Amino acid sequence: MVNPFEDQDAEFIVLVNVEGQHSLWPASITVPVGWDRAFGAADRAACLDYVRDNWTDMRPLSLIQAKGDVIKKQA
Amino acid sequence: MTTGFATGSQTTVTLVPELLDDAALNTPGSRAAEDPQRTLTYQELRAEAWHLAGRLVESGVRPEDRVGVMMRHSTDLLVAVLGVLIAGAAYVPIDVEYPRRRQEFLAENSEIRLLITDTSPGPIPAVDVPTLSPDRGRSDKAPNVQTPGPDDVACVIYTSGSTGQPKGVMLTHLGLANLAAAASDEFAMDQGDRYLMLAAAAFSASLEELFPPLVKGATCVFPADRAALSPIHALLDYIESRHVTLVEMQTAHWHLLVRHLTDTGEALPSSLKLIIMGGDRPLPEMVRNWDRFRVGLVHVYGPTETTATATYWQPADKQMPEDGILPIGDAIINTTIHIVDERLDPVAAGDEGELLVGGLSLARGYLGRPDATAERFVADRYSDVPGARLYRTGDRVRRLPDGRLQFLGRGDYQVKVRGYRVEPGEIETALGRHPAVRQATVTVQTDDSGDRRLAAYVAADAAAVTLVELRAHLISELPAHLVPSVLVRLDELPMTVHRKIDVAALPAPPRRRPDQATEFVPPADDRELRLASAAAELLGLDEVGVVDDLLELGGDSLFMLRLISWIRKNLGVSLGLREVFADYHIRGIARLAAAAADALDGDR
Repeated sequence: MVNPFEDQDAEFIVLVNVEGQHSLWPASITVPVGWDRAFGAADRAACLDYVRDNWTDMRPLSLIQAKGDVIKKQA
Repeated sequence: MTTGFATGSQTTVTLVPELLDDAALNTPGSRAAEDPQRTLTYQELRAEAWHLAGRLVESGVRPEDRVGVMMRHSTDLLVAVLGVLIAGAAYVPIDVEYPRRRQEFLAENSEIRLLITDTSPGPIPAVDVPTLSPDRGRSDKAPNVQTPGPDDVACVIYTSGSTGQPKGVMLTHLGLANLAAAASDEFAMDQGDRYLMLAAAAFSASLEELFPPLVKGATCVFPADRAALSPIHALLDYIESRHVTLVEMQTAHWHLLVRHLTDTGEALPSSLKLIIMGGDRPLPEMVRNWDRFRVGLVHVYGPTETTATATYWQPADKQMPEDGILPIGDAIINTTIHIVDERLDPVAAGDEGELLVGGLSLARGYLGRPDATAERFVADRYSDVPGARLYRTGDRVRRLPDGRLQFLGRGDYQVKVRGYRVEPGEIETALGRHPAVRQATVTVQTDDSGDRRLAAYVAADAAAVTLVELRAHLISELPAHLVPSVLVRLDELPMTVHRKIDVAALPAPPRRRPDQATEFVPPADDRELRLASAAAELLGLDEVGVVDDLLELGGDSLFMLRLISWIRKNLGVSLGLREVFADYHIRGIARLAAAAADALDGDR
């Protein structure tokens, strides 16, 4: 039994949710509710490269916005 | 206080800074923490933590900053951790015992902005950040401090990955709060509880020790030297003398405890109310033996990535399951678990699958590793909450017919040897059933030819069992493909500072007997068998033929002395160096030993 996430030969996509969090996802499996396809289908390495390049701030977006509000208030 | 992606029915939890405020308000004079030097009440603990938080903010520490905490195991450690949390930053525990290189790696990888330390030689030379020493000052409040929100990172705990570099797991305030609430409830803690702080702060098990007492106003008891409590008799003495009520132990350490109690017939200290145990699969024999000690046991399961704990189990009436299978229990509050197959579909009842964990305890991810995060924290297709994530534990579990959740093994450790799927845990369990074996661990070695083979290390007294007997025991217990090629006996298995078996510190397994001019001749009688087995162990070889030239196999003079000493102890005869060297193979030495024994008999 090969874990679908560990299958080096399978096709993957990259999903993103409303918090900007990224998830590797097997292309053959239905995309869960609340996630959008951001990249792929492509091989595993290309998907992980995409994540590395695009998910540069790992804070949830709601947190980034909340902190932004605080900064504005202070300013 | 809840946030982010909620799951199912929510239980409200309180963040650590607020827990500390509440405890200082409700039970101000109650003992919060003690070590051999001093005792702090909750009011005092809060005042010291707030004072430190104020100093951190003055030093420029801001939310999302990482602060290294390299402290001796003491009340000051707790103050430092709480101070960082109140200041809204994340603490990075750096063990004072770690090698310098490792300390540097942790400080650099987590990009700490400041280091809190109370140790000499002090700061980490290669890391150029300001340091702060706790000064035990006290403040009621600190004007500049902005306490954190639930999604802020509270700490970064490094896990040793199966391959490559360790990864820093970013745990949130919400995760810590959820763990504190769940643990204090599961352990039925109250103000009178005295909880032994046994885990190193660098290890996620420490989270289950440091924070739950805040919920109930209980006491954190810091020993002077936690490593000194590894021997079971020292641990029990300490528990007795300090009236400890709660202890969390690693499974391997707990095995030693059960063996100690079984061997000595001693009782557990009367103050002890509950033992929390987890980290590895307990041996059924030990689980069954536990029944007689009549002390509560909580089995805890969880990876660092879900804030140390995902499930708890404890028997309803302190009665262990008859089959010795200790279940891992069910999800803690605000946590969901799923068992899935290779299509990520839920498995049929009773089938094996991978365990996925969701809920408020999930880490934000791996620091600086978005790719590794996206691989392990993945979209949740089961949640009602759109956009929720699940952590893939890699662990194999199944539901037993009676509903118990059984841990079957770590996916990472599952190996194939000569085409067979092998679970080292199964072999360890079989070894543990031998009465002379105190502890066992099985590793997979890849030899020069690229072949994988199993190597078993057992802790047992040399006088109590021979490797030949152990091998015979295994052959009688396991299918042939599960019998390790190599068996190594040690007096004790090396343990990490976290009291897990230190696989990296295990001695290299015996080499295969090199090809000899003479063909391999197996032992012909019991004396030869025992001598060959002893010689193989001393030489670090898997086997020795009885006519092999021992000099060619590396049998130097030190080896000879050790073999002679073994012969005196086990065969009851004294041989001289010169005569042994004159006939330097097992058969010759066996002959000498036999002749010497006959001469002894003749004298009588």
